[in-house]
Amino acid sequence: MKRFTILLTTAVILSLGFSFGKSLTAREIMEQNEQMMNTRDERSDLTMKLINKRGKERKRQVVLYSKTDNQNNDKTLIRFQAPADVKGVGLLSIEEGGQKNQWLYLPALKRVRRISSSEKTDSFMGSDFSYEDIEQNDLNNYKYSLLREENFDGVMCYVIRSIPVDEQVKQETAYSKSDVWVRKDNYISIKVNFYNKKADLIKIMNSNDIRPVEGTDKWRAHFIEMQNVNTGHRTELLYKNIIINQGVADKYFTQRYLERGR
Amino acid sequence: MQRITQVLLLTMLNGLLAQVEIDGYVKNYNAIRLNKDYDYLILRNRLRLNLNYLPSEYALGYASFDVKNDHMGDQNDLELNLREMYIDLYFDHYDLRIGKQQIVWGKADGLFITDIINPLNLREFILADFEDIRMGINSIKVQAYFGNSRLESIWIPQFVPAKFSEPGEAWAFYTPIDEIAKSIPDTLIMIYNITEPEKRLNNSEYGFRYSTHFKGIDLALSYFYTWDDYPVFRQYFQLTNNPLTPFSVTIKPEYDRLTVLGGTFASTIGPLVIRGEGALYQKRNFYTENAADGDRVVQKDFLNYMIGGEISPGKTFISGQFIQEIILDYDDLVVNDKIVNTGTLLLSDTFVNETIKPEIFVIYNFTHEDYWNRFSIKYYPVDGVEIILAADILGGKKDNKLFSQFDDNDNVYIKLKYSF
Repeated sequence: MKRFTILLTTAVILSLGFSFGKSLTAREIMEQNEQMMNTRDERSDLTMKLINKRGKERKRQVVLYSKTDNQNNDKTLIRFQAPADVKGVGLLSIEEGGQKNQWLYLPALKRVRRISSSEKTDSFMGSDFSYEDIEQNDLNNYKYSLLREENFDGVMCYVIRSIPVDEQVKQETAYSKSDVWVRKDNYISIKVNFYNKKADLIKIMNSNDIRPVEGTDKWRAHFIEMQNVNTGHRTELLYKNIIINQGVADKYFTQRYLERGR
Repeated sequence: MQRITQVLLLTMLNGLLAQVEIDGYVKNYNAIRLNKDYDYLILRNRLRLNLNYLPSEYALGYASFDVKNDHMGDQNDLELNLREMYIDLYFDHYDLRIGKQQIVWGKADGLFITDIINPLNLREFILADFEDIRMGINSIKVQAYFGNSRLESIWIPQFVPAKFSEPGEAWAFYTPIDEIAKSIPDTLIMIYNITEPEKRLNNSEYGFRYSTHFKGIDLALSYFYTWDDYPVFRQYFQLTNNPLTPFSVTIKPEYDRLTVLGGTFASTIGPLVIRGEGALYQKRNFYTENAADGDRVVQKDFLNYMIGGEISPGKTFISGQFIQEIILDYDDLVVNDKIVNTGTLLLSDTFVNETIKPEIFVIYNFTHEDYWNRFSIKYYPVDGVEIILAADILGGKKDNKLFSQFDDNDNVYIKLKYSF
């Protein structure tokens, strides 16, 4: 299922890679990665730290709900818990027939406001992550190749390069290519290098604190950092209370619930 | 025994408080008028406390209080205001809210077309934050849900009028009394105290709104049987025998019934959000120059609608609205213009990781050629702290129109807000 989760970043890509002896092809590796990341529904508490190059921090706390319905439409709700001036703000996204509808609830105005869908390249909540970094991308939109296998951070990884499959995808993405380190033991991606249209390295994402989520066969990184190479700005994501496939109720993905502000 | 009782009571109180969430803010607001004296328009401190009591996922108790301190010269007013206090009950297919509350309808920004459930506090015109302009009102709201649709029913047992500044204050509106005094200087004017509807059941207000989401479009239709929140000044002219004051006029301010039918929509076309809102006010009061009309007031149907769009390329936000007001079955003796056109424009952007936000908001009335412009810069130095530096510029070519009447109130202000 295509769902909302930061980790998916990577998953990105694919196409027909070449086989590597009897090993998995690059595409097969990314399919394994996608399978690891896919869920029917998910809920988590997320703390986001925005840190500038002087070390000054700003913190956001949100609750994330996501679900994919029987028609394969994604639904997400992001509810802000902190800081105090944005507490209760909610962002509801519902896919409907290939179109994404979004509503923003502002408690001070007591009003749900229709907003335009975010572009893939837009910043996610003012962070160094863009929406394409945090959403599961269609594997068919990318070609990939297996660059090498190497030990990274103490674990064996596949290093896979992905590039847009055609001009349309090229126009929609901010990246000309990305290199992703996928762990061989559980297919979780632990590092991604992102390159801009001039093929310069612009962002580096590192995932840490990787452990299985209780009650499932899924593994998740509980701490992810994205660094902007040019500005020195970085964003840290700390996940807590991740719950997967435990049946997030449909009521969370309604304007009715959005308006409750909690 | 007494000690056991005290312990039990303390335990219960602790348990209760553990379920209460408190948030709010402290705000300091200073405005200086841009005239030759640079006199202070507002020097204010405000504490807002919002209390949420959450006994279960099926109920909520909410209260919002303001403690406001205006300190201008010798004046040092302290005002406690209960903004809202209500109970929510959530059932499977409907929600119930009972108590003092704000009910927000409509899609327009900065305008009140179908968003007319709550009376407005216009003591600072419409320059205050919208959450402060709308006054909470005692009411019952039931929302029933079925599929993508909802039916909202509201009942307001007791009419509450809008609030205005007193004559002579900075934001006092230009009224028909001022017009008479200006145009017929030697008129003897007698003004009755304003008459409010009696407090009884058949003077209550009620309304319904049906809203749905259909093929990517948000739609709503509404009906509101209400009282006009703004008084009509009925004028009775008479000749006198006094040569110094040959005319006398008796003015009776009253509130009248009003029925408002409304509709709204919102959708997206690619990156563009389009919104619209319209309302038909049945038998709204307008002033007439027809001397044969006993009270110089006629009732006409009135149409008010808005169409707007917004787009946000990158971090920039651009929003525009066109608003038209039309008096139906118009006759030339009606004092108001038959058609009034207004436009709004909002531009904003963010810089330095969204810590600096400049914004321009313009309302221009094409018919009356008057305007309100607000230029502001918001700065968020740390989480929860907001500093706003802004200027309000009001004026116009014609005197005493909605914005031009406050031509002398151009001001710059600074607000410091700490949210907790």
